[in-house]
Amino acid sequence: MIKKLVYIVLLCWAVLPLSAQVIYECDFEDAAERSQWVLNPTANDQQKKNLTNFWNLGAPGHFAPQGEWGLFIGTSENATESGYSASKTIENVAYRELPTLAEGNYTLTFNWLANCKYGQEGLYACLVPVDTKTLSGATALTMAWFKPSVLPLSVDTVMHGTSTWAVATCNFKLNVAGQYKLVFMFFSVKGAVVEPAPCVDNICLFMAGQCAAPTNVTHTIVDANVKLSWKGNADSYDIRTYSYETGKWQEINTTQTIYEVPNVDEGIGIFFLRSNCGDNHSEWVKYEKFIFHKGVRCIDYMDLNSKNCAYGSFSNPAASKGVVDFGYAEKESRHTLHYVINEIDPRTLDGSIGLKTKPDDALASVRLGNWEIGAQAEQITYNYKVAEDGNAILKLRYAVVMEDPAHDASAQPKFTLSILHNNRKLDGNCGEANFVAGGDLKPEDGWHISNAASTPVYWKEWTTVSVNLRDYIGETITIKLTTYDCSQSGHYGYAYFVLDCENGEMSDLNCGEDNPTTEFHAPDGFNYRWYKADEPSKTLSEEQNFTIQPLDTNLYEVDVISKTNGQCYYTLKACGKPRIPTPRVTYETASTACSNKATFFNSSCVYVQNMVTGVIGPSEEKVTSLLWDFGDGSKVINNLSDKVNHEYPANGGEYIVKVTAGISHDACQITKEIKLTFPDISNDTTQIIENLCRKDYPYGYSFNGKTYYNDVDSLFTLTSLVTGCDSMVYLNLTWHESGPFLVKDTICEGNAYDLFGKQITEEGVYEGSGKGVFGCDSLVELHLHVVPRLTVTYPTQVPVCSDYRTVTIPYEVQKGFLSYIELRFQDAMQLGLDSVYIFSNGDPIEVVLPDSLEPAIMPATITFSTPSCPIPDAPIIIELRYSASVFTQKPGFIALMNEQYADYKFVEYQWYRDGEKIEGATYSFVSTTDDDIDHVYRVEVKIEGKDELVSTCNITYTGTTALQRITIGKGPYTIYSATGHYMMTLDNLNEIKNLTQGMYIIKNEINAIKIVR
Amino acid sequence: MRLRLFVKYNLAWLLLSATVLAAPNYSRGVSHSLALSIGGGEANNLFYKSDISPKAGGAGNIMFAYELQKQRFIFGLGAQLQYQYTQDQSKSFIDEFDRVDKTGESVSYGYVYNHLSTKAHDLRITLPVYIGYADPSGFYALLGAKLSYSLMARGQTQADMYTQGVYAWSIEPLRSIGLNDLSSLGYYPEAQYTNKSSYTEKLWAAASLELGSFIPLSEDNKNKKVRMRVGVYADYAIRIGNMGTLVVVDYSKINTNPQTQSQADLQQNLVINHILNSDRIGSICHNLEVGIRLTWLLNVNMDRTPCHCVRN
Repeated sequence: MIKKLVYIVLLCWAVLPLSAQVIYECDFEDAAERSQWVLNPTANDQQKKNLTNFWNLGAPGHFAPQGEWGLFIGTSENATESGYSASKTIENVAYRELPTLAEGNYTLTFNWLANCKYGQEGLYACLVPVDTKTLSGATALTMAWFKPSVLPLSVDTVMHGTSTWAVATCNFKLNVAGQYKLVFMFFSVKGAVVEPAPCVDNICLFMAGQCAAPTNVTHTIVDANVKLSWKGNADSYDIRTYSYETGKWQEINTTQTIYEVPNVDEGIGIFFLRSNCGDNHSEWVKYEKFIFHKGVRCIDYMDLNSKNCAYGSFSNPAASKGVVDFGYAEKESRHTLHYVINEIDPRTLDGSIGLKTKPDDALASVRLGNWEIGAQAEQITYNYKVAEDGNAILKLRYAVVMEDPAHDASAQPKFTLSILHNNRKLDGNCGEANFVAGGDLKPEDGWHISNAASTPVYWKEWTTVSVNLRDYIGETITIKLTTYDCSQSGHYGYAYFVLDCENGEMSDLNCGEDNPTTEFHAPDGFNYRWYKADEPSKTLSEEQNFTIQPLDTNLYEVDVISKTNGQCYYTLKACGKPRIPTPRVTYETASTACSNKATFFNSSCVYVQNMVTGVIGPSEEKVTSLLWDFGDGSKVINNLSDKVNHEYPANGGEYIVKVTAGISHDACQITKEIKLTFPDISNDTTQIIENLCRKDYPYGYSFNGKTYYNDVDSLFTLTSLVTGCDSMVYLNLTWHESGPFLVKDTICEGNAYDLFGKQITEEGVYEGSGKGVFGCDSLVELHLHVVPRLTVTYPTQVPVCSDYRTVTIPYEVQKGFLSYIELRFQDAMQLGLDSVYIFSNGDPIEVVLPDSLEPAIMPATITFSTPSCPIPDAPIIIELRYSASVFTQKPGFIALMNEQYADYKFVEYQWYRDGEKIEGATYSFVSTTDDDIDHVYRVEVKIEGKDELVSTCNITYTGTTALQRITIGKGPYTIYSATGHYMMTLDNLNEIKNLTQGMYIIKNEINAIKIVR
Repeated sequence: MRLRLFVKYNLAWLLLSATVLAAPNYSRGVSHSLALSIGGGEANNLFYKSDISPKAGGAGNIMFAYELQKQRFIFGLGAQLQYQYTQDQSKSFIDEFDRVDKTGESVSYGYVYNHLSTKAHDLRITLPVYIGYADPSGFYALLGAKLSYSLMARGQTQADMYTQGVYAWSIEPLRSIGLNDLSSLGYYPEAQYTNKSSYTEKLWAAASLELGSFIPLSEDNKNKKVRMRVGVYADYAIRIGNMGTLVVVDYSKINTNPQTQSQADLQQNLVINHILNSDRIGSICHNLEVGIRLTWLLNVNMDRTPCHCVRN
């Protein structure tokens, strides 16, 4: 179904000269403005009671997507629906006083709607001096104010005869300046009512001619776009279009005289253009055209051009090529399109009955011919290639309007259809149809007579005639439609038609197991004869639809018979059995010419189920759609062909192909998946690595037509004979000899050398034979060297007194070769240390700690590096201890001093004596006796704010603070000044000489004690 | 102080005088009785704003009195022998002295006392005088004054004490702790020190109150010669004299020479005075005794004047 859109004329502002020349505009949306309107004025209340129709303001009168108010006629005051009564001949007035008008040229535009009867009944617009009474009730047409004031509109003074909104534009010259009122008057004539009643909206009055509007607006269709072009010399142009996608009007500005409106739907396209001249604008120019897109139908029947249209006379309808089209409303038009919804052919209108100029579900119809007499004839010819997708039934919907002069049949007005194949009529003349005026024109056949005109007009309701073209699938046929007036020049005849295509199959057959059907629908536009397949002579029905009982699995047939020729028919089968569309597809794949191809073989059909036995099996019925999703991102296609080819990328891969079979307009669909795998035949590099035993390949190795006896390590470019694609091949060929081989190897102590399964751990010379790594026989003389594993002894914990800041880590290489040593402190950066300290073998491991470093336990790792057979890193703890200066001792105790004396605030204590923990000694002091003299004490302390217990340096209990009882352990002794300067080194303290009185620091390996001499 | 003493002394004399003066007014229609009372209860000292706190003690007494009763009015005068056992304990405290230690280094030497207490036995002779009211229902109330003198006021004072030293460099005081013996430095572990002594001021003046009920005897006692009553009594005594003049610990005999000081010296020479003599008692030392008293009354003359009162 072609989507029909009606672009609605904008509000007054769409047709306004939006410049300072606008005198008055009104869209009735403003309440204050509405209050200025005077509706239904009468001389007195009695006269008002006599009115049968009333002007109202409300929604029924509004036009355009925006807004809710307009002026409309209703049958009462405060009416909520538009409508009018024709019980009296009477008029109704509504007016609005305008601003003072100067002399000059004006343009008045407004939207209006009014059907009404012909003649004087209709809507009038007048410009009346403000002091002139304009009352409802009396027959205004005879009133003195009417005639001089009624405005000449662009089409006619009276506005009527349209059931769709129109635009009225009136250009007039005002010779007398002054105050005027704009008057709308509806004049109804006693008689029949022809809806819709008058409505008015979007009024605009402006000075004309300040800025020339665009002219000669034309359009072309470019795909789904409409390219507008026009003439003008303005600075720029504003273009308003309506977008059904957004539901809004949109406006663009361009300096060009061409603009392409994107994505315009088919239907009546309305575009508004105006010119911009500096600060001034012109009035909006409305460009309204019927838009349709080619290529979206099986036949572009709306495409009327000089190639397919012709006109002539009764005797020669195609005497002249060309389109005669002055618009659908023009009498002179002989090839034209009718697209207005609910448009009634005026010639057929009789009372409220008349012929719609197009079917409701059609976008537009073609009118061939006109109501002009003179023995005219017109012809349109279409070439149609009958589609392979099953749309092989040409469906012609037509309506005929003609006068009946009661001539001989051959001279009567008529409408003919002729379908030709290769310039020949179809077999059996099945493509011929004549619709001739006269004869027995029965109402039951859709014929009507309109006596509205002086001569009765016969018209036939829209009728469908279908022609079977299934025998011409893939062939191009010619469709020729011709209308004739009567040959004697006194009576006219013309026709409307719409062309469609169908598949001609039975519709709404059951689909699937769960939707049993009880009614079959034959295609439109034919006569029918239903019968059982096994009883063809017994006609069961001649209706289009045929009803069966549930579970009726009989096979029925219907002869689909041409209405114009009973000999032209085809037969369809129908069965009540459940039908299941079943995709049946096999495939072949090939990788040739450097591409991966797949060929699918289709034998899809409809499976039917016997409702009694439940057995499901194939039938001869084909599926009506077969959708192919090739699984590579390409577009899904509908292809019912027996063979479908598709190409896949050369780099291969896995693809899931989905084939969906459908019937009954895809109400039922079943999908089958096919998994395809393709190799990568694209241009990439392959590696060939060969380790070959010489003994096994006495004649060398063949590759790409050559024989190699030596090692190869090269890149080759080859063309695949199979795939046809170029590819790069990297060949690495290594020959392995049998030996004997002399192998010299080294292992680390503790490891083993595998000599053909024998584990050798000792250094020496060994012989062995066996299969090598690549399976080649080998005789080996092994000279094995065993590297001793590096063994280093070192302390795992190194205490350092905070007085001296030098960490010295003793070490001794017991075995192996040590090349260098690395010492890494954990958290080195936070501690202000280097990330790594490196020492050569033989150098002492000494690190000077920064003065800012507080006593702490510093984990570190030490790496004894050896060039071969590395050993794991070893953990080591460097403990920077509190200086012994934090102690004091007296006979009887050793005590830690407070913050003022020791620079630290100790809060937790655990004493040790000679390395052993003293249970219960958890105070800041420990008592001692003479038995403790020369014993070494230290205490693990925690200072305030820290959680870590760090030890103090050792202190030896002397029992006295006197120098006489110094004992600090074995030497050698190094003496420093109180400021830490080196003084001397002695093996025996008794050798101290030449020291002045003062404080010195004597240090041996661990202990330190401050001495005052 | 003088005002208090004046009040203490004269209150007792006032009460005594009033009762004596009142006695002759009731010579007619008067019942004369000899009263024998025994009583006992709890006794403890009372202190005000002091570091000493009393503990529960005990008391017992026996009294002879001559009692007059006319109608509902009672007057008595007697002699009482009163015994009390009291305990008083002081808060822990330190007495510190600046001195030098054995090495000659300045130290703040401290004696730390814990659990310092005096347990005292006090035997007093008391002269009570009282007046009272006897209700026909049997209820009686006696209000009087007493003057007591402690015949024996001996007590044993003991304390747990250790010494410590705090130096300028000390994180915490240096002291002998557990296994640690710093006696060589003059720091002695905690030990008990005991002294026996008496308190000096022994005169007490008390106010006395007794409430109770006459006990009805058998019907055979038609002459009502013997009566009996039982009541609860409370004696609130004020000690009279100069109290709290001594330091609680007397170091005057202690050897303070760090080179020669020893714990034996301390044991021998450290004098801990009776708490009630010490300045730790504060400004007030009172005594409270409460108990139950049983009194037998032997009527020595019958009043032949018809009595319109309701007899017990």
